[in-house]
Amino acid sequence: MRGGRFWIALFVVSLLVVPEFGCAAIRAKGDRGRRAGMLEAGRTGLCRVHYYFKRPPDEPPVTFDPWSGMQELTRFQYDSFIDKQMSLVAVGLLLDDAGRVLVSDMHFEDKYIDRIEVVGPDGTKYPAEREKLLDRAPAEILRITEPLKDWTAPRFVMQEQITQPESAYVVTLSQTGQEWWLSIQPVGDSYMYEGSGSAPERFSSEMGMGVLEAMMPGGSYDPLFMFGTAMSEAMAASGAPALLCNDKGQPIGAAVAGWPLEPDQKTADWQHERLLDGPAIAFSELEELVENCRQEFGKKICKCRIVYRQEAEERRSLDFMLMIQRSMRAMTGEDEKEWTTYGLAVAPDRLLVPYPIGRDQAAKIEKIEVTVEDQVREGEFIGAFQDVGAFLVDLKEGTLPAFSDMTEQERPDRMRLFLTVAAEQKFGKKHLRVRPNRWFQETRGYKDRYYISPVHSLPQGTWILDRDFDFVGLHAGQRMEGEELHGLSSGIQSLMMGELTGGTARIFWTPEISAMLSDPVAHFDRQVRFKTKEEAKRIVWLGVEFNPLTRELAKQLDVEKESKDGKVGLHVNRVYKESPAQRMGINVGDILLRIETRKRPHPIDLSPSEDPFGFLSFDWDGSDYMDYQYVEEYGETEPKWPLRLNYLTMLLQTIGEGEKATLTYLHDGHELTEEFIIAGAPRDFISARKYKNKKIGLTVKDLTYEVRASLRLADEKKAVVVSKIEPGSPAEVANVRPFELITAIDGVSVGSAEEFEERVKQGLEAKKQRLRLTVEYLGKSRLADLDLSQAKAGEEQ
Amino acid sequence: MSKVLRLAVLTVMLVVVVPFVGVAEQVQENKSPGTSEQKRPLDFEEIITTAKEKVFPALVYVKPIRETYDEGEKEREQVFGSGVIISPDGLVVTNHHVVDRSIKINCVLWNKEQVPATLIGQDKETDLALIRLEWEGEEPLPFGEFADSDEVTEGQFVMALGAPFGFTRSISLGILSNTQRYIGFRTIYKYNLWLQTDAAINPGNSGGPLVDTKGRIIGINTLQLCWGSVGFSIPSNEVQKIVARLKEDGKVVRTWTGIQLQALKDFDSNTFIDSTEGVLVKGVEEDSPAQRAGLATGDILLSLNGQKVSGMYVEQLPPIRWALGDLPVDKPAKLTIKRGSEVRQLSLTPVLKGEVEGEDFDCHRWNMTVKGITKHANPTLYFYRKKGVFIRAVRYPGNAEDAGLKRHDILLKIGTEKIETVEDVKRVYDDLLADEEREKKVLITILRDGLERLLVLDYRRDYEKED
Repeated sequence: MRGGRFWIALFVVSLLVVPEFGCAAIRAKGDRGRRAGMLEAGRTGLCRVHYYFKRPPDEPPVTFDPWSGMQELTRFQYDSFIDKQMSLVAVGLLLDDAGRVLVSDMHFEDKYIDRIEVVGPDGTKYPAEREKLLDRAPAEILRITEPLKDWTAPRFVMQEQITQPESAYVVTLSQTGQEWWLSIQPVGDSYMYEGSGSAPERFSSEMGMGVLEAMMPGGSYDPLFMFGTAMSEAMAASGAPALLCNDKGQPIGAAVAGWPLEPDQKTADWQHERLLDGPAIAFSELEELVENCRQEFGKKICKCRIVYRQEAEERRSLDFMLMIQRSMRAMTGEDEKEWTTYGLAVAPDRLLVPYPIGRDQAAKIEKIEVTVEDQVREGEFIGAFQDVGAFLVDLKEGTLPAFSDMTEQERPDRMRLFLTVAAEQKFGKKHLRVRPNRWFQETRGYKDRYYISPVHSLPQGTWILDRDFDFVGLHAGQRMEGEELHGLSSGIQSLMMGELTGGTARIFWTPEISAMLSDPVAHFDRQVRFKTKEEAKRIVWLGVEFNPLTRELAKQLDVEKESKDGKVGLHVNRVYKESPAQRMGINVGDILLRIETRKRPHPIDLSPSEDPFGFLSFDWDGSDYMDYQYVEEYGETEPKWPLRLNYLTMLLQTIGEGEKATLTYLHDGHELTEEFIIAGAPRDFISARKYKNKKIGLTVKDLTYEVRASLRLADEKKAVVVSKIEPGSPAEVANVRPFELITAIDGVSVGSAEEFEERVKQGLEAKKQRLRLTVEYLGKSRLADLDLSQAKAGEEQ
Repeated sequence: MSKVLRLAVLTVMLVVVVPFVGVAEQVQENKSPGTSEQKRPLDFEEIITTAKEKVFPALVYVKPIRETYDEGEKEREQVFGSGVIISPDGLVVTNHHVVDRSIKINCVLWNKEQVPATLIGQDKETDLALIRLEWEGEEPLPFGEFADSDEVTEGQFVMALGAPFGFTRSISLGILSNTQRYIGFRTIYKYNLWLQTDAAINPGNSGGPLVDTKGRIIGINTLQLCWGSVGFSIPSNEVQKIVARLKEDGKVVRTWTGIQLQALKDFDSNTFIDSTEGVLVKGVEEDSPAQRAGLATGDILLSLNGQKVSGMYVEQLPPIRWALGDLPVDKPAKLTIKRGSEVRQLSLTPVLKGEVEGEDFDCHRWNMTVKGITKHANPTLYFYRKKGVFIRAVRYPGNAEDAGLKRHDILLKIGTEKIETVEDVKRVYDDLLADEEREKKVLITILRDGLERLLVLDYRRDYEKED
């Protein structure tokens, strides 16, 4: 955040230094009278404005919401002033004798303002009201509601244009401790060198500062700084209006600190008359406008309740990561089970939901309920866009009452007011948060494009409307290609698995949005899609197990150069049969170094050591507490096979199945490079076909490749693995334990869950009282009788 | 199950099956109990006193000094236990776990005389040991007399004698709760049944006698459950059998067949085999005589060399195991089995049961102890490596711990040297330490959960110096 502190510092420097130049310049002309005139105009025109805040009764408590950003933080700011019993002091400029005072547009919401007080030059306090919000200047006008006593506005003269930048001055009011200072500064020079659609002879100046970064009143302060004691100074200084004078020292208008002063007023007004009478929205109208917008635009906004399929948590070691992900989602009002959000109707049966959705979430959408005019209809997830953090939902039946047709609207001019609409749930109902805003700044971002950010920061997923409530843009996350990979390769993978951050938010104007909507499939991120429960469990593989290198190990193995001092490299300790790794010729003892993919501009070093939490290098299963001296057969069994979701599979999974990648690895000290296509893994313990019978309390799974390899089972060995035992069930009574193998039923071998199911069925049909299982664990077997008397034929599932 | 829960379960298990080895405590002399008590008709106290007086003189307080490798280095510690003299020439029965790995044994006799003793033999699988007092006195030693443990009944009064907590002798009273307790499901004690008593038995009672009201030995106190409130004693008949073998051979020689037995009616797994005779073969160990003989899981073993075997309930398994263990080595034995409805004759040639306990070694400078893998003591490790060495313990703090080595890691290589026996470790360890030139780091290849890992053991730091 560009800090208010920085701005203040510069401002103070300017006070110390710049006035000297200014004065010198005037002195050189020998016109003391002109300087005195400007000071006098400043003394009578510039004033202090005190804002007192209150807590509106109908506001929900402030919660941190990662998508809403500063919008919510301003509530913190109000609260902070209220709690400290402080008023916010701003600088105003008296424009006429009727008591109209120009203050900068600080984006205050009316409902938070308790009262406003203007302090005249003699210290008299006048009550004031907000009158209107200017359309062509980042400012608003207040009106003092009592007659002025011995206080008149500066005598403004009419001037259409500033012809020479060196011929204008600003008079500013600023505060140092308890003292208030008037300063005269010449307007700094800067000429437009290159710009889109502008005449090269145009120039623009920012008062007193030359070209400085624009400070946006009410938006871009350092929020932490705002909580400090110096907040009123920060607020007063950054958006303060200044009195603008011509080269004769006559007041001609106003400039707002931090905003470019355009000599020809092409996009922003400074001239006195235009400020007073130019385009604006009266605050009394604004309320009506907001209410109409809620009515009109609200018809096109529908609530979407997204219900997720319940997933068994099978990633044993990743529990902690899941916990973090869950708490992050909880902040967005989304939990494991469902998520309520709001979409805009963009076609008779189609909604655009302006939030990013992760791969994991999209994969397990069970149903979507769209509320259309109080009727709940069924929706369907169509796809998520790869460029913008938004996705489409179609109605399965029926149509929406109204929709935005996305006819191309011109984007609003710089500085002009537009409306922003964020849909949220408030007190159990759909609520549209409608606020005026404008844009000023363009910043360079992803792919070198110029992106527009609003002056007053907005939550992601905010609609931008013109004053006729027509859709002109969407403020949403700019998604980046391979952003998850970026997370993985920069060591924050533990938090990013299947999650999308939405990147940095910016405004997408209508042309961009309508291009995406006209051919959505071409703009979709194919990785974000629904998956069946079966599919969701499948992952990709290379077909190796490994351990990360360490610095010492790299030294001992003499691979310090290749492994970058042991920071990179996975030492292979198992290669699965018929895996991509085996086909590539990778052997136990090889060291995997890096992977290249088109999705990242540079190779990804295989370096789980960068994992900040040590999730992936921590050995979860290596410890064994039991002392065999006392206990030969420990009552608890544990899986003796490794986790499938390790760093490497997570990485490959993120690159995506079917993608081409290039692997570089060390074999006998030589670097070899192999190209391969990322392939789906065969079924593993988690995705294995299973058979579950609640009555007998047993779940068994097919033997999968990693289980076979870890238990050193021959290819022809037939068995199923016990994956779950229900407490108190016949299986538990029979002392069968999870992760043991069942090799035979009634002495006849059993080789798959399907076969197991068939045999249980046969047993039940034959009215058998029990099945005799041959159970095996780590090479030792025993017999166990499974009581079938509680189970019945035909209801075994 | 979560690690925490598992750890909790483990803690309970360890509490449950704790042999009563006393820990070092200041020895306090007890006064001899008074002998001039008043007589009463059917005086229960008198019965106790008579019994006690008969057996007390035979009770000895055993104080071995032993070497352990449990904490990642070779350590010596004094432990306390009990024993009972069973012959006038000074043979004393005690527990294996009392005198195991002892380098010196001292015993304190009834007359408070301390006498050294030598180990004659021990048997881990019944937890019994036989030691001989180096008694040079003129008169014969008082000794205890065995009762027939087949004759004991549940509910009869018994007394547990011993030297609990390192105190000198004491006595506690209780009844026999069970005379046929089988505890072989989760422990290595598969060769005998146990007497269960509620006579308070505490650490240090190990090896002491359980006596009846006539003062005769009916068992040797060995295990406790629930902090001493449930005790287990080895029945006297078993003790006598083992003692005879230990006297003869210094050990109990057993043969190995690789047959794993299960009772026909097994309440542990709720499995009931539809047969009225024989015993169930629940498993056949890999590469065992039984496997070679063609035995299979599910067979019913009917007879052994013509002798019928009967294993209807778990309580009947120990004698069958004895019979199998007593089969002559390398001599074919005739087995009659039933497979399905078919009765078959098989010929099985047993081999000598290998060592139960592997050898220990302290890699002192590396702050870890290692041990040989044996089939019987480390079945899980044996599953991964038939012949090898594993890390018994790592000292904390220490070099092995720093390197990431853990208990139960199997050592495959140290540097470039392959490791198969504890001798290999000793040799490589000594060579490495003797090499002054060498940087004090060595690459260790281990097997953990069946996966090879490379670790670097850096032993530049000498933790000994820091103590």
